[in-house]
Amino acid sequence: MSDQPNSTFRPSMNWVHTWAGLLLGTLIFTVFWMGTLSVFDHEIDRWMQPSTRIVASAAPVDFDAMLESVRAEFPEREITEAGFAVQSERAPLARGYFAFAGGERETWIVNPETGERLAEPGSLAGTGFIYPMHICLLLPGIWGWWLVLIAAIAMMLLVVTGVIVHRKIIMDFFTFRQKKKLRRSSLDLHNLAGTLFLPFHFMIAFSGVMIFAGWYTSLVWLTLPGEAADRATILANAGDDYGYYSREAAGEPGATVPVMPLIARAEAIWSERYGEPVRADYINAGNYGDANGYIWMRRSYPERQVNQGVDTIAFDLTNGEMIVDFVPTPARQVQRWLAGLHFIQFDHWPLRWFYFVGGLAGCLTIASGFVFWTASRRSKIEAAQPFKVRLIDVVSVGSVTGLIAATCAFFVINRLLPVDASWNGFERGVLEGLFFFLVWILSFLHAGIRAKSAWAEQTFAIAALALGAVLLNWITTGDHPIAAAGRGLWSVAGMDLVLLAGAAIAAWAALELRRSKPSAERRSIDEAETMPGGAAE
Amino acid sequence: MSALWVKDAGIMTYRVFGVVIGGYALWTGIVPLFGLALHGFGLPLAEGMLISSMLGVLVYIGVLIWGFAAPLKMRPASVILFLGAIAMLAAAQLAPAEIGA
Amino acid sequence: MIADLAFLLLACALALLGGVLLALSQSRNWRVVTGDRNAPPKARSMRRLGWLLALGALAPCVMRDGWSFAALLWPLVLGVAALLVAMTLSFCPHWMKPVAGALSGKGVR
Repeated sequence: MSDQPNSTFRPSMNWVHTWAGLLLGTLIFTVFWMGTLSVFDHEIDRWMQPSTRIVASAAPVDFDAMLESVRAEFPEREITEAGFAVQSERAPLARGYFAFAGGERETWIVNPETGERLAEPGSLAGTGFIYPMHICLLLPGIWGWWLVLIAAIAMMLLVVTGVIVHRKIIMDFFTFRQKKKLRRSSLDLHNLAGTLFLPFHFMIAFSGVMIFAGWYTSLVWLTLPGEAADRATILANAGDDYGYYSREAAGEPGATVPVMPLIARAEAIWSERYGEPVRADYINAGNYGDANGYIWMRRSYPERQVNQGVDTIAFDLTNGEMIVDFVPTPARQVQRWLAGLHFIQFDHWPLRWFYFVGGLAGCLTIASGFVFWTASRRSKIEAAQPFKVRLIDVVSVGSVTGLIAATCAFFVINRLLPVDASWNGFERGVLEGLFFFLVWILSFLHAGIRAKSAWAEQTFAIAALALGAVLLNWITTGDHPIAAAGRGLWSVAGMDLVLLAGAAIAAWAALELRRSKPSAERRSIDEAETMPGGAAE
Repeated sequence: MSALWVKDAGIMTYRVFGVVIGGYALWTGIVPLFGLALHGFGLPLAEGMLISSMLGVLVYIGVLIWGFAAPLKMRPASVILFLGAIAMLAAAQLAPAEIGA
Repeated sequence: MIADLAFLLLACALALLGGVLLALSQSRNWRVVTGDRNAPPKARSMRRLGWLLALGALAPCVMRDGWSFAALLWPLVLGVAALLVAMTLSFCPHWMKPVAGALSGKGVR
């Protein structure tokens, strides 16, 4: 198996690779799949929220006028906090977020072109469901964040151990023998997708951890008793300086100066500093109407650079005096580059598509790893431990094809539910999410019942659902890909085309899977024993 | 036969626990220590801590690989647990009382 | 705009050509494409040139967007190009026959 007969290193790494993959594969696949979709989160928003299908306009939105309309709409309420998100090419709507003294919250969505307020779009869509699923699995509290950290660290560990385990075949990185038996073709696919995008997969996991690196190491100190642990907590948090500004409310009313001139002042300062036009894209006013009112703004997403911005300027909201002008330090710039490459909010369409391919390749690596495990061990272990193989098979079918089918069902139900749908007090957006989880759970049950045909059947379901989503979008909104492209809605047309391509690939894969059903792969024990290190020629 | 299996499972559990949890302790302990060291070399503390926390994750990956490199041995897990405890205690002791800008 | 597109296409072309050369320098792929059971001629020069072209694809990436973007774009261009080569070898290996013919006819400098 290894060139040194007594070496235990590669078998040990094989053990880690196999077990980490089996135990955490579902988690990693979920995070990777949702992250891959999040590459196009705003485009998914447009598709799932037809009322927001507008072409981006550079027309500036007057946030003072927005504040005025909010006051007019809720004359009895008192605004305590206001946030404003400026529109961009991919997110063509300007948004205002308002908190009131009674604890109420309102979101104000405006079409920058016309200045009119739009109704709630009735779907959580990409930025409200798929993206949160990627970053915290929609779990309450900090649990989701920690699970995603585990997924990222496991991904890095799997990449490194994978190189060690599959070292011999990695040099054959152009090989995909799709006509061979499933055991061989799935391993080929695993190595191909894993090797070709290895730097990307490592960097995307690494940069994901880097976004919260300080937080992940600072939290643990809270668990220790004693004053020294308190000091360690403060020390560990010392690196987490992102320039956010806030201060306590005074409890007395204070004046509020108009917001727009302050934004213009901040933009002028930045534009001069960086020698190019710079836009503030997020503005936050705290203690609004209080004597200690403040407002800060930042350029979070510069369009022509990888680095995410943390340049922050804060003003006193009562008199417009500048309080803070935060400029990132060199190490912070490195961290911002890592965060920026993960958030991909920059304007670079070819790179965005390459990210999408790299993400899909990651999903493929994980999925083919699952398939290879069951295909290669079935005959060997099934005789001795039928339950173990069945369990892993059900888990991998549900985690891979089940999750993809649930995502497609999420798109389908979005086009089927009426605009004002609600059930048992759940709003339309939540219902879509519940349907997603229902389909996902059903996919595990289906895998349990249908056993060996489950892979092929669920892949067929993916093809049907993806095609159905495109047709339903056409029927319910009239925006078939050509019409959408004609109106300049490339987000909608692009999503339709990706769904169609996905349906075609899924249909082909389903036919292939039916041809080489894992159950047909009975082979002698000695052959199964030579994997995976010995699977080279 | 079954006694051997129980022993193996026990060792395995100890190894996974020691390497994963001990490695995490080592990661979180080393980060403030290295950050303080960089501060000692003249970097602002916030910069030192940031650089340190960016490198800390890679230390953890290295520790995981090293800890699992030898099968069915308890020593790496014990060493990692021990070093992790030392690093965390040292970091808590060495953390300055006042964090200046 | 045109320059951006040209740099991108150049990077992809270099990466693809490098991938084809690297693939054909391996005996198995050479056999799949040409049916020739012998080792590919001048496999070593092919491999060297292949890596050189893949490395060369970095240049248009840097010229297009600068180092900060190129560090992300280049590895992904290489990955996508190599994926295309692998899929071509798997599904339509005869597409590479002209390249293989040119290589075995004239050899590689």
